[in-house]
Amino acid sequence: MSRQTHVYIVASPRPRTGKTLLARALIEFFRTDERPVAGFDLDTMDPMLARFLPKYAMHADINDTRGQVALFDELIVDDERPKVVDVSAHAYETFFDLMEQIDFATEAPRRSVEPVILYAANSDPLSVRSYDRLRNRFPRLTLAPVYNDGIMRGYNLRGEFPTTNVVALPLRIPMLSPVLRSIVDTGPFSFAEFRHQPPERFPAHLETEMNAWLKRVNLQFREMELRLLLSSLRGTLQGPRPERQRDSARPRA
Amino acid sequence: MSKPAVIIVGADKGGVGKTTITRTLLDYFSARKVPTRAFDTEAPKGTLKRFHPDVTDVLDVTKVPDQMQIFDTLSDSTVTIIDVRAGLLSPTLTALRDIGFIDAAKKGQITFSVFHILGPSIASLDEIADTADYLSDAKYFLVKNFINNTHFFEWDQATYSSYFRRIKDAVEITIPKLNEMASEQVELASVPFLSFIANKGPTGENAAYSFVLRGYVRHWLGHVWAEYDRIKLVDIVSPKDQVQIRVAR
Repeated sequence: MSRQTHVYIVASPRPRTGKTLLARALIEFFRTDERPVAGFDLDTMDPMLARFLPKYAMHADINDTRGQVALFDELIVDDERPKVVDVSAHAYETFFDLMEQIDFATEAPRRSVEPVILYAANSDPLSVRSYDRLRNRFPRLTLAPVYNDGIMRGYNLRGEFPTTNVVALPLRIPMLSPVLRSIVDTGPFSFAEFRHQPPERFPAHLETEMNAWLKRVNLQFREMELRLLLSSLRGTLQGPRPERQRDSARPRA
Repeated sequence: MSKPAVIIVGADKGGVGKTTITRTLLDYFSARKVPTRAFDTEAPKGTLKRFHPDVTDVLDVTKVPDQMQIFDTLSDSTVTIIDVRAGLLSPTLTALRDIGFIDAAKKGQITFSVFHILGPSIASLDEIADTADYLSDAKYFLVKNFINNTHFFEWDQATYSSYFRRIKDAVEITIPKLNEMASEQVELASVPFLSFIANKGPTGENAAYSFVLRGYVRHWLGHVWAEYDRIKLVDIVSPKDQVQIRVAR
C-alpha cells in the first residue's frame, strides 16, 4: 500500500514564534531517516530556512501567480515525499487565502496528499484569533498547535488552542539553552549532521543537551507521523480511498 | 421547457467579454443538463466555436439564410444562445423585430433574454438607450464584466442609474475578475471552462493544466454561476421545470 504524501504547513501570523526552527527540525528529522524531503521558504525578506538548508529548501514567492503555480503545483503532487512549507508572517494571509480560493484542502486528499497545519502558538490575541479562523476555514484539515517553550515562557495556552481530533495533538518544542540556541541559530548548522557526527570539540554538556532536545522533538514528529498513518488506515478500513488524480469538475459557488 | 428560449449576448463595442460570458452560460446550462445550442456571429472566425465546437455554428446574423437557420429551427427543448459580434447588437435586434421575433416574444410564444455586456465608456450606456425600445418584453440583463480588470471609470452612478431605469425590470449582473494567467491558459487550451477545471483537453483526454490555475478558474466560475443562480436563469429558460420543482416541494 502506498503512503500518503504529507504537506506540513508551518505557520503563524506573528513573526518570531519559532516557525523556522520547527520547519528546520522537521526537515532534518526526515533527513536523519534518510528520506527524501522538500522544504519551501515563503519569507521573501529573510529566507532563513532556505539559507540553513539550501539543498533541501527553496525560496518561494507567492506574491505573483507564477510563484503560486510553482509552489502549489508542487505541493499537490502525490510522490510520497513529505513537504515542509515555512509560511512567514507576512505571507500568512496570502497563503491561506490562496489555499482557500483554489480549494487545496479539498483537492489534496483526492490525490492522496494530506495537508497538516502546524500552528506556532503564542499568547498574542491575533495568534489566538487566527488559529480559530483557520479551524473554521479548513475544518477537515489536521491543525495542530505547536508550543515552543522558548516562546511560551511558562504560559499555559492549551485552552486557547483547542484541538479538534486525535491526530492533531499539540507538539511541544523544548527550550534550548541560550548558548545552544545561539549555535543553532548561527549558520551553518544542521541537526541531522549533528546527530550523525557532532562537531569536533563541541562541549560535552551541550552535546548531551542537543541530543536530548532532538530526541524529544523527533519522538513527537514520529508519533505525529504514526497518528497520521493510523488515521489514513482507519479511513481505508472504513471505505475505499478516493481515486488518485481525480478532480472535481464542478465549481462551488 | 414549454416554449423556445433564446438568449442574445451582445454589446456594440468589441473586447468587453461577450464570448467569455457566452462560454460561462454554455458551461452553466451543460452542468444543469439544459440542452443548449449556440450561434457565433463572428463569421468567418468564430471564437466561440473554438471552445464549444460540438454545440456551436458560425453564421452571419444579418443574412436571411442564416437568420432562417437560427429562428426556423427553434425548439421547445433547447436553449439557443447567440453570441452577437461587436457592433451588431442593435442591427440584430432590428432584424429580430423585422422577422416578427420580438412580437412572438411579446405574445409569450418565445422566452427572450438579452445579456447586454457593458463596456467602461459612456458610449456603452448609450447602447442601453438604443436597445431599450426593443426589449419591453424581454428579460434584460446588464452585465458589468470585470474579467478584463475593467474599471467602469467613465460612469458616475447617477448617469448609470438614469440609463438603467429606462428598461423596465432590467437586472444587473456582475462578472468578477479572473486571474490573468488563468484566463490566458484557458485561452491557450481552447477548451470550455469546465474541461479546464476537470483537467481535460479538447477531445476529453487528460491534460496537465496547473492545479493553481484550475483552482482560480473553479473559484471564479463558481461566483459567475452564483450570479446566474441569483437571477434564476434556469427557471427563466425552463419555466415548466420550475413548476415541476414547485409541485415536487
